[in-house]
Amino acid sequence: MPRRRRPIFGRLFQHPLLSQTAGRASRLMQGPLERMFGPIAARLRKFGLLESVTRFVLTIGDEGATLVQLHGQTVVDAVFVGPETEDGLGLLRSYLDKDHRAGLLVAADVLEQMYRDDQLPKVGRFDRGKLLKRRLDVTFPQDRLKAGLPFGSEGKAIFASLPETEAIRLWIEFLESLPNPVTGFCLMPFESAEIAGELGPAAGAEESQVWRVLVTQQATSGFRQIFETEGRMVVTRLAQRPAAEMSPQTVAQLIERELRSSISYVKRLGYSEQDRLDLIVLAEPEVCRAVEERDLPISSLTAYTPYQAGLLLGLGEVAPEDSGLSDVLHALWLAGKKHPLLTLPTAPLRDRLLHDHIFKVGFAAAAALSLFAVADLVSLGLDAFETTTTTDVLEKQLANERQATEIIKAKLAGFDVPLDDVLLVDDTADAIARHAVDIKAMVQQVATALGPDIFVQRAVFRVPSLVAGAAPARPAPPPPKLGVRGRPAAAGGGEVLYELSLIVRFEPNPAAPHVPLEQAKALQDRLAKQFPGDAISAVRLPVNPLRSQVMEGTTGDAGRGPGTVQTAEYLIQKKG
Amino acid sequence: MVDINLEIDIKKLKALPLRLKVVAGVIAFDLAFLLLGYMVLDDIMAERVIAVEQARNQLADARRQNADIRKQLDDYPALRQRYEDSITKGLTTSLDRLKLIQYAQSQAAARHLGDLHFRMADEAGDRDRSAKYRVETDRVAFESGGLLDTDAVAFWDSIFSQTQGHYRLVEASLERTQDVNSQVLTAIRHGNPVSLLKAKIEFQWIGVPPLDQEAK
Repeated sequence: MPRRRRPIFGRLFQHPLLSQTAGRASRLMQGPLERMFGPIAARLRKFGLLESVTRFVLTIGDEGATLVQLHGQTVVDAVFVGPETEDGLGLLRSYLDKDHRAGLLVAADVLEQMYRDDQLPKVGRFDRGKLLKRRLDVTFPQDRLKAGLPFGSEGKAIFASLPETEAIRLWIEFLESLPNPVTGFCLMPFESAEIAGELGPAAGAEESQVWRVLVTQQATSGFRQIFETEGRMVVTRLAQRPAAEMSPQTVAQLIERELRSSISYVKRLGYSEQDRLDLIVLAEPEVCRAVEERDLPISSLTAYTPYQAGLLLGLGEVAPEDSGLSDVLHALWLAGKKHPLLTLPTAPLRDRLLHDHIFKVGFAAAAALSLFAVADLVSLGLDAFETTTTTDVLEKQLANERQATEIIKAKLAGFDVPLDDVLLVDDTADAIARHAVDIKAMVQQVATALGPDIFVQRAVFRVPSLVAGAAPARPAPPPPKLGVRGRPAAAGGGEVLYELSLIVRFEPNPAAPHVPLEQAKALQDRLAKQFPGDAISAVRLPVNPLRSQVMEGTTGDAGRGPGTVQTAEYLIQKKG
Repeated sequence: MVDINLEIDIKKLKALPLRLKVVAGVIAFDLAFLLLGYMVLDDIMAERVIAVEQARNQLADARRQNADIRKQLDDYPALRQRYEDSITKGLTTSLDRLKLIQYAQSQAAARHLGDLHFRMADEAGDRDRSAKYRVETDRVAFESGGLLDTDAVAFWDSIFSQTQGHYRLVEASLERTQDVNSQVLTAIRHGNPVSLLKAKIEFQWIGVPPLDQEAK
């Protein structure tokens, strides 16, 4: 068997173990899934929302047409219609009538196919389509079946046209009369050029350019040569099969002759003797052997039967083992693509496909919008019901509460002293009691805390809330200073119920200038004992004149040096 | 030109397959329904939701009010007892300003507090009132000089004993104005008035006199 050259993923999917597992799972699932989704899928297919599993590939040639029926990727049937076939179109129609929603791919394998390379100027991304169409119209002004395809990154494009011969016109009429969604016309040589790369020897590291030529024989046309380099078709030639029966050697001679004449043509497109040329021939086994015996001007020869090639390409059995015809191989290769490279549709065929696509998208959008609208309607309905019932319940509860309140009010109104009078008197008594202060006891506490040689210069008791309330026009008193010693008086939450500011004086003692400061600290401690629970802070302490200490103050404090009167200020606050 | 294009477009639209027209119609209907729902029904629903929220708030207020009034009903016996106590203690009496000033002057003189200055005024602002009573608030201030702080404190004590159950102390201050020296001692020896300190007291006098008494 020849070497396999499929990419790794292609080979992986063809692994027997994977195929067996997939087949087993498919058989297991097919029954229940078919029962569950089969009717729905059939209905969706009927409306054109689902692609039919059945597909057709119609290859049109000068000597006839081949219709291949596929179920998924498996060939179900294939029929050849030649010129001598009676009611050939009717026969094809009878096949296509089996499933009107089955897609039909049309591949042209006719002699007259026009290809032209062109260089496009650099334009913006959004203008490329318009430019391509304009160039296409200039290149093939008279043709209706034409298309362009940009390739490479250097602004190159290939334009293709299918001249509308009488035979093609008849085919167009036939295709446009079909109810099936038709994708066409595809150009068989252009689509199948990649086969040479798949079947030929792998490109090595040589610097010379690699050219490949695929030679296949089709019942619809004859011997087709497809020259490929750098992944794209450059030339295709068709040699029609002579009417008389040919021996394998004659066929090999024909292939050689056609190849040599093609090479002379390809030389004009850049081929040189130093380039590598791989020939891939798909023919009957005898023809393959005959070709191998010939002295061909090529670098390598790969000769397979279409049967072998189909297996290598992962397409399955595309022909009998001894057959040399590759019609089904090309059809399956085209059907295996996600999208054809080039499509040359007529306007009605294009519109029909566009309408199909719009219908699918539109149906999905309509279904989604309808579901959303229904969900919105249901949501609104539920909200309306909920708000109505909630409002009713709340109104009933409110009426009950109001009724209960009225009953209690009636009871209260029955008392000899109305509740309002009682509350006014009680609240007033509470307000007075809340601010009750024994100022005499407080003065006695301060006096107890004072020691010898300490005198109160000024004592101010104040209830800030009442002072502020009594004179709202007065500016608010500044916040108490941060105590230089002790607990910060105003820090923390809670209303200040009262505050007592004390300025005390210490007898001067020139012999021991540090004594007033110690006395002040001791006094603060004693005050804290006398007023437990209150915040005591020293707002100002006597100046410490020792050299080891820092002296700091304002102009007013400058006169208080050693031997002068030393004072301290304390703030006692009670918080509620 | 526009009309020609429009005509062409309409012709194209008419030429579309029936299934496409049906799908387009369904989409248009759905969009119209959703738009209508968004523009009209959503607003109506929002109003209903707001109404429900308002009803919920009203119910919460009513329940709170009901609970308060029920508590008052439950507490009424205790409140009534306190009311009686306050009446007994004389909270419903009015301030006799002249009598208080005369009393303060006599007490100041007895405690050698000179330069007594007094101020008594009705406090500005709205007063709470009920069907029978009205809260009456006066601000009273006494400021004087003196020889001893004990005299000043004793004066305050006497004033508070006179206004027991009616007063709220606002401010009280004592400030030494001069130290005891030979001149002060000489003045005392000669019987001249001497002041070593300044004392000030300010308080609120609060009463709840009946309205009929106030009218009289």
